[in-house]
Amino acid sequence: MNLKYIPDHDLMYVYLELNTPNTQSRTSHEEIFKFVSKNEKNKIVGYEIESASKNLKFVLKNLSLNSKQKLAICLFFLRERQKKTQKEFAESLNISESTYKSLERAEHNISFDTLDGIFSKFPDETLLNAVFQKVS
Amino acid sequence: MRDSLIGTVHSIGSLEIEIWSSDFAHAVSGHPEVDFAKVKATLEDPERVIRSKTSTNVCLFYSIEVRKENQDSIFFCVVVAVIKSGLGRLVTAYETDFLKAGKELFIKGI
Repeated sequence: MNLKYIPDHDLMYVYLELNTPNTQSRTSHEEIFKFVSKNEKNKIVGYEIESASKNLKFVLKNLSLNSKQKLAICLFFLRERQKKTQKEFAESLNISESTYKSLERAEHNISFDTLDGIFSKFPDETLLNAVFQKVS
Repeated sequence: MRDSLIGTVHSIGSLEIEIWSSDFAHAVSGHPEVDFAKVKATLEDPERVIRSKTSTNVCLFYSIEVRKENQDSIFFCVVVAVIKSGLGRLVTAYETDFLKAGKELFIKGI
């Protein structure tokens, strides 16, 4: 998974799969566009999200993303919003930089400790709360 | 890897568009059909330029990639963020099967 966000223009790119030839098509949401594999028309390999701040909850709740991908998008967006590097953000979450990088690539299994640390860091972050229901 | 300026393209409306290595690499990894020549050609000689309806100061440069009989057109789109008057920066590029809504800034031949 690969992500790109341009805060000044509130534009986000989510790539679920890399190096797959694709074509952009519309979705039912007028500010969210999908990239569809040229070889398998039903396979979505990425998204372009306009007005990302406003639409991110919709993306996290309504697109077919798994938990790792949702967490990656949340973390990436929160980090970019704070204009922090991956190293700085990893330190603030008290995890290694390599672990953090793999979280942003949606490659890392999410342990309860990691999730707990993230929730402790962002206790009032509605974006995270919208995606991960905290069990108390 | 350090980000570096790999090219500047002079486009219509006296807009200079910078292409940075990080943006170009991101575009190619997400869209392997993208290459530098296509990006440059589209920016230098677009069919249409549309200002994004929703993303502030983002312009979409389109060229027609494929047009076959009985088939819809495929466009090559280069997304450019306008940083300040006269200066833009490549965001990404991709193929698309439609033109986005927005203010048309330029239509070739008109």
